[in-house]
Amino acid sequence: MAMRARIIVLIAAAGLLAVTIAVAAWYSSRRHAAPAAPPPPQRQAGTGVRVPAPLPYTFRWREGATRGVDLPTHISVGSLGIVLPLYPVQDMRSDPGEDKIAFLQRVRGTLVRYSDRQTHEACADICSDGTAYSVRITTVASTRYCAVAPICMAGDESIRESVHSHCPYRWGLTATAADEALSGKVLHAGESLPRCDTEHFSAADFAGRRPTWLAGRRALYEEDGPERITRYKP
Amino acid sequence: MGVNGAQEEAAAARAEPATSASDAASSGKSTLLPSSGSRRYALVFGNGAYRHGDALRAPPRDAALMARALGVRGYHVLLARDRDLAGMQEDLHAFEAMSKDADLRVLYFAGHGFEFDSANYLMPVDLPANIADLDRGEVRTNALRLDQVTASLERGAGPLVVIVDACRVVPARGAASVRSLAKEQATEGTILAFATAPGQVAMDNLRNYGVDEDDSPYTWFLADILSDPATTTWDQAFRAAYSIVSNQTRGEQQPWMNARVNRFPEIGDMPGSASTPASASSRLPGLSGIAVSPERRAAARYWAREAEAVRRLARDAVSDAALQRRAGQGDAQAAMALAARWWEAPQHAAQVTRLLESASRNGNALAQSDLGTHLYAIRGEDSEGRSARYWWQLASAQGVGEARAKLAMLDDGGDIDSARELMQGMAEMMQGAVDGRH
Repeated sequence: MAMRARIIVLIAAAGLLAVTIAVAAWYSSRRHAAPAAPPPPQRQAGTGVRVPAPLPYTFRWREGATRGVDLPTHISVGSLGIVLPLYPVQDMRSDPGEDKIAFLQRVRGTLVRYSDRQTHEACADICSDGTAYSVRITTVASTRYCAVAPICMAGDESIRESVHSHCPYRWGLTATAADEALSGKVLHAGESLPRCDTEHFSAADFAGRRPTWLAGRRALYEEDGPERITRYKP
Repeated sequence: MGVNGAQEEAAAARAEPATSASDAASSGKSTLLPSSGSRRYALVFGNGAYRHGDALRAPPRDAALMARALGVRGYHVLLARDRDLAGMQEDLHAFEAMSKDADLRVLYFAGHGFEFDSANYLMPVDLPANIADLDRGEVRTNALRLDQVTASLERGAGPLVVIVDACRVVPARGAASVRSLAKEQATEGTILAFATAPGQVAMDNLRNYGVDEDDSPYTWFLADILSDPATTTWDQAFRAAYSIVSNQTRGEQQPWMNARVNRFPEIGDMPGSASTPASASSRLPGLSGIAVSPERRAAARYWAREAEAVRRLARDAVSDAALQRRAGQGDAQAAMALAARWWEAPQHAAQVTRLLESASRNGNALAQSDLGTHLYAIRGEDSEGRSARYWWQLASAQGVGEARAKLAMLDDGGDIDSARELMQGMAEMMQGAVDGRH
């Protein structure tokens, strides 16, 4: 009888251990590579405002400018023939010894501050010279879109990843002329827009190039498909 | 309260829009001032309460002054003072919405502003650091970019007039490659007017030039010109402001304008101005054949008021010693008042010259005119050998009609040109005297 009880206790302990290991493994995999949450179908779920994917656009440079390095002056939006100015926000380079995540956390701070103050998205191609990282952050003064300019600081090359921020989680946002153009006139300049989700990739983000990074207010997020979102705490 | 305090109080009272609604336009708020039923709209920013040691006294007063001038011309005015970035953005959205069907929109900004990358930035009051410590990224993050603002205001309404009275300091951390606002090009349908030309710094008060006013010279004169019904179009107003400010600051500040419009818009009638007895033609029936340009008229009005202030001071000051003390501290009005008291006393002739010379060198046109008259009377010269003609020429260039008339008399008035100059000077003198009383 005593032997039987011991066996039962051992089996229970082994089961408990297995469950604990399984839970720990699940949690660990979730933290590093598993989906953080199902992607929302659109950025403002439940608000009634549907933000369509941006129309195709091309970049324009000043005569004599170095493509890939100098800031484009404008983007030309699809078939509408609308030209929007592209504005510089900030150039940033990683410090010696600063790894990619630490650098992108710093970039996150700059992007979040900009979008919080100006209410516009901002974005950049992530570049590297093999040892250091850099970004040239720009904006088209759009509340809902950002055109990632294909530029790096001289001597650096794109690593084919981009980082961007969303407009703030705040009432009183309005669509701009850039929103109107890039949405194909689904949004109208001056119309009120709902608050933005700063911590989730949008449907348009998932439709774009991968991997991509989101500069959230609370954390940095990496997306390599809807099922592969990684959250990096500051 | 001392004399300066009393003057400040009086000046502040002058600067307040003549409406009870203006009382509500306290710091950090925006207020829609009452107006007539016109379709002209104005958004007026005056940012002075900058933190981190960058505060400016003049902009909120300048904004109130401009709001009053535009209100008198029938504009719906949204007055916003000491606004943070979110507040400025809110005001712009509200202004855009309320003026959708506007015939004309005016955007006025007074405060810190500067330039780099060929763009102009208007600074809200909630900057994260001292303005001299901001780098380019911080400016882009925390300021309103003027071309973005104008782009949004240009859509779907009549012409846009943008007036920027900014640029008092130079950002130190590489934020500015030149010392002032950029040579921004206006887009179609827009008139851009700046208090200063590219490469120049705007003055934020008139005291450096011997005039007893705390307001920015550009705004002070522009508001004064706008309040004159004889000024009918915006180009007249800007040309007049250019002429006066340029003269007043002896070329150190030259207002700058860039316009892309087929025709300059009308400023707008003053409600009831047609029946106002003080309208231009009825004020001077005897001189109605002589036209006084808006800029000369504005200057004449200004100097007539200054002359009246000097007359009162000369009459009311307790003692010569008190005036002498103030004159010694650079008070131009006191110097002129004391000179007026000693004018007839031959024993004070040299002292009168010295008193007026100091104010004249600082650009005070009234002192220049008086000094010319004094030197002519004693047939003397100033300490640098300059005669009456020199000082009258300077005073005349700044709009003192009396000096213009005296210059003409100096040339005997024998030919037709001199006679015309004499009549013109007298007309300006009389116009200034009449206008100055209103």
